[in-house]
Amino acid sequence: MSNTEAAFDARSLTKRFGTRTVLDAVSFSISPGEIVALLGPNGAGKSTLIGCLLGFLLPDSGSSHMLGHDVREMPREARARTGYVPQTMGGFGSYRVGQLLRYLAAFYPGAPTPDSAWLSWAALDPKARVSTLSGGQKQRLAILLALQHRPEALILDEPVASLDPQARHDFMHLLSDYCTATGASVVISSHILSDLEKVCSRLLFMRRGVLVLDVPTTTFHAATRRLTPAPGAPADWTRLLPQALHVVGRDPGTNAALVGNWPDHDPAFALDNLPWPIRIERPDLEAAYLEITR
Amino acid sequence: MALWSTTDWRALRQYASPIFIRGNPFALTALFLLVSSLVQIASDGISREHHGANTSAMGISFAMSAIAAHYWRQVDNPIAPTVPGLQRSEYRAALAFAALVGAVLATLLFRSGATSGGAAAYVATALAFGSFVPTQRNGTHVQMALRMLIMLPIMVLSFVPSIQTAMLTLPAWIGWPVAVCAAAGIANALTFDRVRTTDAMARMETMLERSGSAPARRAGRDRGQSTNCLPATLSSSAGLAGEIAAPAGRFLAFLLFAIPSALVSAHGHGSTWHAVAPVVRVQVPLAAALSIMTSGDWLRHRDDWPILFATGFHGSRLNFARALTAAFIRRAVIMSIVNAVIMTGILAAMGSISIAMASSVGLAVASALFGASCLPCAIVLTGRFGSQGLVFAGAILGMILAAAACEGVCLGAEPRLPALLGSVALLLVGVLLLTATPRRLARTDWPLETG
Repeated sequence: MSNTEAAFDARSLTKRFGTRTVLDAVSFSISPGEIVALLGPNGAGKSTLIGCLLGFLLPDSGSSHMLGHDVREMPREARARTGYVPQTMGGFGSYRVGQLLRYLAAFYPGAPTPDSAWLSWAALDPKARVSTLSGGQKQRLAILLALQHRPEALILDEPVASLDPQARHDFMHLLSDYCTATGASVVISSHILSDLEKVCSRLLFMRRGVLVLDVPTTTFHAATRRLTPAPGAPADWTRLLPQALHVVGRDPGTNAALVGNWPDHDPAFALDNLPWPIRIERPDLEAAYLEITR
Repeated sequence: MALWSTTDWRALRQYASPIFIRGNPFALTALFLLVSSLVQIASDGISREHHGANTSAMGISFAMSAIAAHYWRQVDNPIAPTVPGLQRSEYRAALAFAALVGAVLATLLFRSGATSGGAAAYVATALAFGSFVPTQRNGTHVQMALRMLIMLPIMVLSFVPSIQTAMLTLPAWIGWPVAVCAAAGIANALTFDRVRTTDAMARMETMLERSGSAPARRAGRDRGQSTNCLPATLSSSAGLAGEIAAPAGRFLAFLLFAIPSALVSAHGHGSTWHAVAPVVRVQVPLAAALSIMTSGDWLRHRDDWPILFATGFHGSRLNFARALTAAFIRRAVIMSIVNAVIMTGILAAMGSISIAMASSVGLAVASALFGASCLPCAIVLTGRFGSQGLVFAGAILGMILAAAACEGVCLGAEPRLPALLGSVALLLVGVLLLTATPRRLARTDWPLETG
């Protein structure tokens, strides 16, 4: 992959199922080496977006490119540079673990042997029948299968949901090391925000099919604030905020607003012109997620 | 691109390994049917006019269904489309193996006296029908029902000797074009482009809609429909009427296919009712036995068991197993009575059995059908309950025994005492199996289908 070629490039992706718009003009681009978190509640459109990114689903309008190729027409050589971990590992139940690893590895000619760190992390018996593995073991197998050919573009759809905390912790470290070593780009969807916060360089928030916020993780931490006005402030108090601040979420219960573009570098910046006292907090990802995707 | 790549070879090699057989409900059945029927053909020749039914067409169809079932489970999963060339290699391997199987079987039939065109047409047609039976996982109930109906012409081909003989002796100018068309049908049945678009869409839609696991939703739906907390395979939203309608529908659907075929078959012998009736008569016991094919479904489709058991509705494992067995008995009794009534009614109307005999024949037929439907329970007793393929093979064996018993009781030569005793023996075996099943089931691991 050339340094300038985007690993993933979604352009105005729109997808409808019947009359329901599940993705609405979603656009973003992911550069080599980026690890991007795809965040949003159930039904936000994350799995549909992943389906479109991989070329499983055909968008009603817009386009999706992976490693510089339109995913609908991706040549075999380019597809061999990608990997995918599904939510649940289905199929291949009649294989033994070792048999399946060898069988699928054959479709990646010239690929290196599987990384021993990953094999040791997965801790799967090569002679075990796939159909007899537990849900977590199947998920480890799916991760091994997706990574054994060292992909440059990797999509993980809730890969850690059925892993135990130790396995999850180790997985995140290995993934981070893998990307540092190979320069691979990763899109990872998960509801375990604390894990994502540690490894992801960028956050994509989705709400009802719309990409509502696309922000680097460091910027998010530095320039996002939770502003809570004193009781008595009207619901539309945020219209009095300076133009530079961008409201990305609201909490109707407390009348608080989550704002971006906070000038963290300017210690003199204040909200003195508002008629009510404002409590200013640095939100953690979970609190911010709740307000952005509400 | 190479004509035949190393990954194609690897995909093809799977068919010669246990991977192909494991969890493939069609493979063992195909082997059983093919061996028995080909041995029969090798000794008697292809002319079946005086030798009765031969199940080679069913065996060939099941062999293709086994290939297709393996193929679909290889390509119809979330990982397959992302592995470059996997679907293409699996597709080519499935077609190559089907061609190999077809060539071997057609050669055997040709050497047993079939014409070359007849053997090719017979094998290719049976393969083509079998290729449409297993498809992707997502399908409506109507599609599932249609898939079952696909097998009906093959049953006719198996059980109507004159049609079988006529097809095996087709002249080359008819036989080879039929074979080519059938081969094209197979290639179309296994086309995998659908996986990438429509099927994946359906799967994604399901993902979006689900608020829990599929078994949970199904179990919840079933609980909403009935208060007996039974798995989907044993509960009916339409109540008793639905339970009566299902076997009756299968019976009549079979006759709908079988009778026109019988008429075509009898055409060469004249078009009078006297010429046609004997051929039609043979179909009726087969139609009755058809329902046995699904008699093991309650043991094979158990993904909602854990959730239903966890509700505590039935209490202990033994009580849960007893509830399942009782529901199965109820269903099997209804199926047996419905089929026996329809069958004896038709045969009495045709004059094949006297009115005086109808009640005793009906009782014997119902006994045979009930007993045969219990045969899949034998797999539970052997402790191999985890093997869905064995359970299905048990159901197929039951169907074959039921067909033989029904034919013997209704149409066999006098005295019919051996056939009647056979029916009673089947009933006794069934009762014994059912008596032991709940306790054994309660002491057996219930395989968890984890995706």
